[in-house]
Amino acid sequence: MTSLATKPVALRGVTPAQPRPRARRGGRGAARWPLALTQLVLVLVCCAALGPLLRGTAWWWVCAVVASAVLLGSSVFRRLGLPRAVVPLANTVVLLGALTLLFGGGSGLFWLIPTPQTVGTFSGLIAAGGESVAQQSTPAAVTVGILFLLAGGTGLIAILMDLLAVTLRLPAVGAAVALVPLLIPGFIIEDGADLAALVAAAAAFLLLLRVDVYVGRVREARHAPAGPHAPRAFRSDRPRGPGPMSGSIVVASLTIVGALILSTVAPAFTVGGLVASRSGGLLFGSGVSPMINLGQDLRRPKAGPAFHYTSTGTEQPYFTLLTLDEVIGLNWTARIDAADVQNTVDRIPRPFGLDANVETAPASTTVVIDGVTSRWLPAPARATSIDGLSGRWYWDSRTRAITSRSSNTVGQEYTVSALELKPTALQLRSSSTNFPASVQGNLQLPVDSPPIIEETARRVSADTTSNYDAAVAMQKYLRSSVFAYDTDAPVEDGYDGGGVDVIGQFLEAKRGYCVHFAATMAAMARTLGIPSRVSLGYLPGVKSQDLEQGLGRYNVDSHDLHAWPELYFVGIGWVKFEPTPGRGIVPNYEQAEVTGTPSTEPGAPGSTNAPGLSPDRLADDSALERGASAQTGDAGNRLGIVGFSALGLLLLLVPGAARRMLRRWRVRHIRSKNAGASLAWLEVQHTSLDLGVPVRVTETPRAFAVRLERLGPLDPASAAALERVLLAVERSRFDRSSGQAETLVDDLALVVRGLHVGASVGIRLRALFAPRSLFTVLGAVLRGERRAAPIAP
Amino acid sequence: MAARGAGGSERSAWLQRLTAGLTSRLTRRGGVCLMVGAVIFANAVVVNSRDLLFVASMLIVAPLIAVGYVSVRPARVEVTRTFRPPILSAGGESVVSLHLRNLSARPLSGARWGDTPSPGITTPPAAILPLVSRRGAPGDSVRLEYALSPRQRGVYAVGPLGVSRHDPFGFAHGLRLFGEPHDLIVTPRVMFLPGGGLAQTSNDGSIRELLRQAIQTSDELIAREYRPGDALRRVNWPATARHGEIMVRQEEQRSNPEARIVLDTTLAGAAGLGPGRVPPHLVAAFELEVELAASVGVHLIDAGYRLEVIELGASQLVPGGEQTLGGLHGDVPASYRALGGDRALLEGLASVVPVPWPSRSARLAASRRVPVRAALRGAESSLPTFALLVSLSEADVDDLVALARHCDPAITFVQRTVVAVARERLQEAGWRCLEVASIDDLETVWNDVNRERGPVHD
Repeated sequence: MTSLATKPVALRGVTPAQPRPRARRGGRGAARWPLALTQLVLVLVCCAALGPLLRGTAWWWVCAVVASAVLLGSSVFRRLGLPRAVVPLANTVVLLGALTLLFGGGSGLFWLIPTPQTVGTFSGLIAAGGESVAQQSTPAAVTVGILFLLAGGTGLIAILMDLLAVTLRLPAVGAAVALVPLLIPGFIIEDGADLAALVAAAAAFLLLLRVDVYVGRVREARHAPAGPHAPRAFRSDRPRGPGPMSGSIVVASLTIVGALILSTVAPAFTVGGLVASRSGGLLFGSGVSPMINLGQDLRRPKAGPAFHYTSTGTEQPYFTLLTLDEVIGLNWTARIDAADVQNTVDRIPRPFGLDANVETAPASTTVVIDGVTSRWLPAPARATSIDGLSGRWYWDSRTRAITSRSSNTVGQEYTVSALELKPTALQLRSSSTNFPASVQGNLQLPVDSPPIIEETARRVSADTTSNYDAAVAMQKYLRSSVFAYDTDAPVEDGYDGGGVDVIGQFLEAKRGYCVHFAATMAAMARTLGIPSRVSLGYLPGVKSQDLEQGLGRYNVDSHDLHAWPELYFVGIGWVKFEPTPGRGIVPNYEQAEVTGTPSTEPGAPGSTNAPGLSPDRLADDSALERGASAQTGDAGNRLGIVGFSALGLLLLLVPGAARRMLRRWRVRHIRSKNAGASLAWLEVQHTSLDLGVPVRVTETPRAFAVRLERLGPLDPASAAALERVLLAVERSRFDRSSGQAETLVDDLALVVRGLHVGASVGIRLRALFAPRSLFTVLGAVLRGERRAAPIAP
Repeated sequence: MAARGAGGSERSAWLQRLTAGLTSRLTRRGGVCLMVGAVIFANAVVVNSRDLLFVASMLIVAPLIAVGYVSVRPARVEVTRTFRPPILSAGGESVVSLHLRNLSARPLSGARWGDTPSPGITTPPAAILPLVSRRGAPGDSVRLEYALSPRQRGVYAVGPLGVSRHDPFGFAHGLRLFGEPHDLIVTPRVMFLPGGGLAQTSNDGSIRELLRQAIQTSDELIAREYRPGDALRRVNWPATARHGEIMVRQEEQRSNPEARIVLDTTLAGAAGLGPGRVPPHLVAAFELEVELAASVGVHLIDAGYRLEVIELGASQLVPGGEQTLGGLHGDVPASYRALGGDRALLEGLASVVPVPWPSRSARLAASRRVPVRAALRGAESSLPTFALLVSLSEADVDDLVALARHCDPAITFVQRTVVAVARERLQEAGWRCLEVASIDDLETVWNDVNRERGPVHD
């Protein structure tokens, strides 16, 4: 029995000596690793291009994990010899497994296999992700839903790319799939993707093509037709490898530089665009919610001119673009009816519900559009006629927003006649609550709106008797020092937008910008039974100080984008309020009357009608700069840097640790008599390989030992130990008796230490952190030569 | 042959001139990239998206740069071409060996090589050229080999070597031709005839006697001293008596033996289709004729004969400006001797094609000027003559009938395509008509020639 038992062991010991047949190497899966890895690089680089849209970097790692699982998995499948047609399916299975593991929340069978519950979870995540994409502005906080969409999308891209590039062998076409994440930023934010990301993606694309060409040549060389008629090439000495790199580098760098030049020169002749000067397209025209868009414009570091105007009015008007008068779901939305072609803008009737006893004054405003591109026309409220417009424009019979289906505001110059509304506080206070049916809709709030809205509204307006006083109280509360104007905080904390759910968070955080203040006041008014709506548009802007431009001219830029609430008062109509601290002009009807009240808002001398010239405005502008982030953000960054450095250091240590573990594993094996002197000798060989002594396959152990001693003089103890190990390995190879030296492990340790001591510091460091033997073994494993590896590293 | 060679080099020069202009071309990948890039570029300009513009620019620029790369730095190599063997018979195999040396100071990588074939042979498709180091470095030359096995005889121009270089990303490739085309001579297949041929006079037996009769120039017997190994019955007793030592007789009868082959190259019995064009049913017959000529001719030359080949059409074996009338009307016949003659004959036969026969008026004029009789140089002597016939016109038959009296023996190897009337007339004139249907018949027919001629003489 013993002899039977020992035989396989002996065989196992011998088989590694004979390298496996070459056929295995040239097999189906050979030389696929480079292609898979370059695809992975391309996918990840393109994913990284999404950076400007999203906060943080953790999402990228999740994408990386999913993409690696898919692409490396497909390589493994090919290596295992799975049929070509099945690999994409297997990839899909891997993707599902990875997603279940990461997002299933433990609902999957063994955390990996999706169950019906997982499907439910996933669809929930998709919906949540879609919703948060729609609600958030850029850079968006990465919620779990968004993360799921990102990971799933990356996985799909990886599968598709693998299918095209490897299965169908069209890598150039496959790379096109990676354009999706690369080009998304360009359609959402004006700056588009980072230029560095574009260049990196280009480099990765070219790398993929280069590797494909190389792999194709290798494959062709391997499957070269045999036979006497087949062409052959003979050469005395054969330089290996893909050949000189210079050609690739020259072509690639010229390509990238050429593309850079071409793409940066080209805008010079497309300024003003064939369609639009904004890369994002129409203002409020893209699918993102208007409020998000507004915040985005406000956060833009540099303001662009929107339009300028001159006005004959006594006060500078707010310019309304559109009015959000309905809460659908949780979002304020503009109900846009089909344009009524009879509602031409040359004659717009007097506003509905405006009694004759309310004082009005006609004002004429001449507007010249500079940079706004929108289908909505910026116009003062209560316009009665508009002249000079090109294209067909109509007014909306409910909100009186002026809009066009076919044309936009680019290059328009027009004159708006409007009514200035000058109600007295008395009129406002005495207006009844018999709201007409047409504004009943403006009282509705979603049933599940956060209770804090109503609580706050009730608390603030506790002492008031009329709707008007309640409105003023709410305005005062929101403008009080409790609240801070901050365009970045909502985005960072993930409550951007004007949704009703966001209002709850805003009321707690008390940081936000006009959208939040306007939406909050409108929602609070509705809880008190005052019809309300939110208008989006522009602040009156800044009076031009330039004599050339004319002193009567006001300039409005993109930072003057604003949102404000309007409340309905019977007999007067829609009356605007200004709850945003430090922005705009507080309407003066109450100021004129309520003289006794303390000078309203601290630091906001809204009563001076100087439009937007409050000192806070400058402060706001500086706060808008992206660089001025809050202290907390700084701390977070520092933490992140430290974390990443630590991670990097850990990564650096990985090879060394792996090598050490390998050595300990070998020692353990020797000690437990599972393996003998050959493993010890392998360790000696690998150690010397780490130390830069090449190991030749053809050398006998003795020749190697002699060379080793000649290269670096060993101390006597180590030399003796080396001799003993050598004897042991020779005995195990050539002697039938299976006696094993007891001191083998100690001898091995001695030899290893001696070799290390003999080497210089630099070499020792390299051996420690970048052990060559490990990479050699790893390479052998990846190339499928694992069995040959133990003898021929 | 020379004419074809000249034609080949002329063509290659023309080809080189042409290809020097447009060496570089986009691959499929490059072309698709360029087109997609152009489409995206148009879109990008309309949408005014910088990212899209960058992608489009890259897709456009990359193939163009690649074309530039391939054109600006074309490969410069030196090619030496050898065939092993340089002459082969149809169906045999010759190894084409190309020694390629890089002359450029840059390594040659990412290239493929393929030989330019000429019609009739197929060279293998382009194969990968391994990395060739720069000039002077080790590994700056590489030997490329492939085997050719042409099925048909002929002279084939092989080459020049095409080296197509690809850019590193597979967008473009540029083809350059190097070296001159070399002629590969593919001779007709030679059937080795049995040893007892016309010329095996060193043997004993009846054939020798026969041959002595056949060859009129044999000398008188000369005796020489006995050497070990001589057959005892060759001892010349009278001479032995005269000299006092054993003498044997020795024949030097073939001091100037000659033979004649008449080669039907006009195929005049068939309607001419123009120069070089053979009616389809005569193609095989003509090839068989050439093989017969090669086999018989090589056999005779090996046996020491001086062989002259008369072509019925304009001479192709000895081309020249005046050699247009046909061998029976004044063209100088090609003649071959031992030591190299066989090779010359085979090379000549390699490129023989059917020729248009001279117009009737030209023939008439020629026959008036140079009658068959006068055209035959050896009128006073009769040469063993083998006429290899495929298809005869009346005029040809007339000529052959006139020739018959200068032939001894007069043997024709006719094929099925020779009409019966012509055969009868030839037979009447004294030609022995032996029908050969395939090259395999040759051996038996040849034996018949030998066997039957013995009794004739005896």
